[in-house]
Amino acid sequence: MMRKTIQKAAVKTALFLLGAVFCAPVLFLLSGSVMSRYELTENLRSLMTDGETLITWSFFPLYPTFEHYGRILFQTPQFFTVFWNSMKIVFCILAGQFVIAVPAAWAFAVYPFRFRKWLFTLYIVLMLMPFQVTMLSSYLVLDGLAIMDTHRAVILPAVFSTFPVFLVYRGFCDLPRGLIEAARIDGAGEWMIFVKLGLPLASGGILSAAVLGFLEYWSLIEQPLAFLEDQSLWPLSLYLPEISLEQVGYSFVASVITLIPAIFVFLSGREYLEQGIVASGLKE
Amino acid sequence: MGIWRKQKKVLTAFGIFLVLMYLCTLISRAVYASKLPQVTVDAPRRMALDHTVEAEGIVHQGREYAVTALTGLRVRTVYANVGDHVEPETLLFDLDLEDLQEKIGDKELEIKKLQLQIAAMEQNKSLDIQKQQMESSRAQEDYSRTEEKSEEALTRAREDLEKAEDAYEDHKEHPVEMTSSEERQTQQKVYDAWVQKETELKEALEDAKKACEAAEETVKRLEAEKKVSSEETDQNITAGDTDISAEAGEPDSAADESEKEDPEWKAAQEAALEAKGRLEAAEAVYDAHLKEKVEKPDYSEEDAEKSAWNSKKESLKDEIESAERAVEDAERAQSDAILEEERKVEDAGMTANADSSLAVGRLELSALQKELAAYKKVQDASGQVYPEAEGIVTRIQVSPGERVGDGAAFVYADLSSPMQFQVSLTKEQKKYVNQGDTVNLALGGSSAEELKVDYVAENEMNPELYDARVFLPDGVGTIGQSGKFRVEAQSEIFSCCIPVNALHIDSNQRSFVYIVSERSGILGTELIAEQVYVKVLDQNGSFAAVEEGVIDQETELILSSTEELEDRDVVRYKE
Repeated sequence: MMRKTIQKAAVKTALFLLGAVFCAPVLFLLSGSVMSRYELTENLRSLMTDGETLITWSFFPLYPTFEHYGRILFQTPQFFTVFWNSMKIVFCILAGQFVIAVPAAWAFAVYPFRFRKWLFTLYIVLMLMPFQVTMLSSYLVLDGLAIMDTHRAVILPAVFSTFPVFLVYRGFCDLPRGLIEAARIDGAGEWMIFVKLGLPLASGGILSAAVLGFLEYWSLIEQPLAFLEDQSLWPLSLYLPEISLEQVGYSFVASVITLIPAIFVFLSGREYLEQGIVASGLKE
Repeated sequence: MGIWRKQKKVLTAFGIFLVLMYLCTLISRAVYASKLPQVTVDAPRRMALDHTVEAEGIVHQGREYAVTALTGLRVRTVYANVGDHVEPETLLFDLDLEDLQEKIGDKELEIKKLQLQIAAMEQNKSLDIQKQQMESSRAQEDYSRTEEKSEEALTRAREDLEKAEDAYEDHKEHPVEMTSSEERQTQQKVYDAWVQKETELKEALEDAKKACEAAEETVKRLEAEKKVSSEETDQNITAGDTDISAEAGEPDSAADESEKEDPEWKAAQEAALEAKGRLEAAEAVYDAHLKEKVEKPDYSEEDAEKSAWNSKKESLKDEIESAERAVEDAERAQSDAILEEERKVEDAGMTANADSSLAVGRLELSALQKELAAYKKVQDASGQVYPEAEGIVTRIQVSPGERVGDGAAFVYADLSSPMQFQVSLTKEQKKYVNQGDTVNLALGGSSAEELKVDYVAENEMNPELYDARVFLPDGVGTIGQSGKFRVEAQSEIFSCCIPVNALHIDSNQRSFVYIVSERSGILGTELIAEQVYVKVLDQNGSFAAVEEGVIDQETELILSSTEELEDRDVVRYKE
């Protein structure tokens, strides 16, 4: 009995330590955001001078202060500009994907049209391509559409991303064929079947795609950097590197605030995210 | 809908978070905007600049007179003060008579010394003239003598040259007779032919001798052999047969017979005879050739004679050259000697170095006499000094006990001439005031009067200032009276005039303005204050004309700001 208890305690301790390691970056951010400017300068002196020595860090600030929060929240409108830009980009992309990707996945899952498999394979290949491969062609198309240096240049390519199609497709594939046939026999139209049957039953896949999409597009860097020249259109991910080392406290606070929406989305979609990932992992 | 219900708390919190972020956005923008400098702007305009120059000045006397006294005299008493009204009979100051007497004594002594020095210099000058005349006469004599001597030497040298030339010509007229080279060659050929033939005959003679001797030797050998064989035959006969012995009394005949019978001996005998005959013939030919002997040609005497003639000719030629050089030397020596003597004559005739000491002495004497006369004049006036006309004393440069300096001792203003108003102007003011400009002049409490600027010049004491003078009409103004000077002028029309308060000057004294410009940033397009350097063409108290180009009439100039501006500061318009 005693031995079992010790084993249990050891496992718990190991898990706790592992968890602490995973949580360290967040703790680093939180402690840095309330650290005084002097203390930050002392800790990060290596970065500001030669960079040859290692930085030092204290997770418990000597003189905690919320000055950086106050300054970011009440005296830095630039931060809110890029914050709302990020929100706009992410929610427009997710809405667009809901309109485009979900019906596309429904079509792949339900309708046995010609060349379906070939087309789906092409989708998967496109999904696997990194941004660097498609950047030039994307640039040419966006320039041809005269939407460079607008938010549409970032939103439109993401709306037509193949990844959510792939994720949602798995959710729709789980639907029993007999159920759809029964609905048809009962007189339901295709739109009715999609809205009343498909969407509710595959909501786990849709939401997991939304959560993953949010996390991906919230930290989008390469696309805005390539397609947005006007700084007033930048998202948060481009603003953070603009903060100088002398204002490193603001950077910590900005990072913490940037983290908050992602935490909310994660918390709200964690269950479906797990379901969606499990569903897509088990099939095929 | 199930999703929303399940995550209601999280979604509500997220919604609250977004609302808070929105509020913070508004607050931060408000705070940011409240910190921005608020500026008022205006555009440059086209206009002419009005310039008003106002300055304060005072009335000065129109003309001044100076009262002078002899420099160096000691002042005993000064009777007048600055500002005193003086007349021709007003005593200004008097001089110390004892000091004056002392000065007079010194001057007289100096004059005496100078007179003695001048007399000595005149005597020395007379002696110098006599000496120079004597030296000139001697130099002329030396010149004549040297000319004669050198002429004689030159004549002798020329005679020697003529003699040498005659001897040379005479020698050339009597040359040595010489055998021609063709003749010499012919004689040599004849002699060579004889010698060659003699050699050939000699060799033929030797050959004949050798042949004759060889033939005789052959004959002798054959005879010896024959003799030996005949003896052997005799011995055989003696031993055998008496008949034969009887017949032994006839050996020669036997021998002759044997001879007649031996053809070899006979041939040898004939050959010997033939060789002997050829030898004799050769000897006869050789002797005959020797008798016709040709002598070897010899020209040594002739050549020696010719050589001696040539040597003499060369020596005569050398003599001519020597004589020519002697003539040249004599000519050069003559010219050098004459030149030297001419120079001596010139040197002797030259006047002595310019010496102005005598003239200077006379001038000094004259000056001293004048000074003495001036001192005596002052002494006659008992050392008292009076002004020449009526006036007001403006400056006194003497004081009791001190010596009179260079310059005016007293200066007094002439009351009979008109007054003048004098004012100092800055460089900036001077730009708008020129000679002849109309000026409003208000003296004291009186009303302004329009007059002309008569004179503008740089201030002697301060180059940053200028003095302007206005001559006042008769009877206007009193010395020292204050007044206000006012000139109004209008510039040309400038296309780019800005308010003066928009103009700034940096630490390097360069003028600049702030203009409203735009900058793109994270907040979008914002207004900024951009520093632009301008060249000021003209300026008055309200406006400045600047060079068009950098800014124009479309430019928004920042006139004022709620805060101190720096280049590229973000600004906003004042509400």
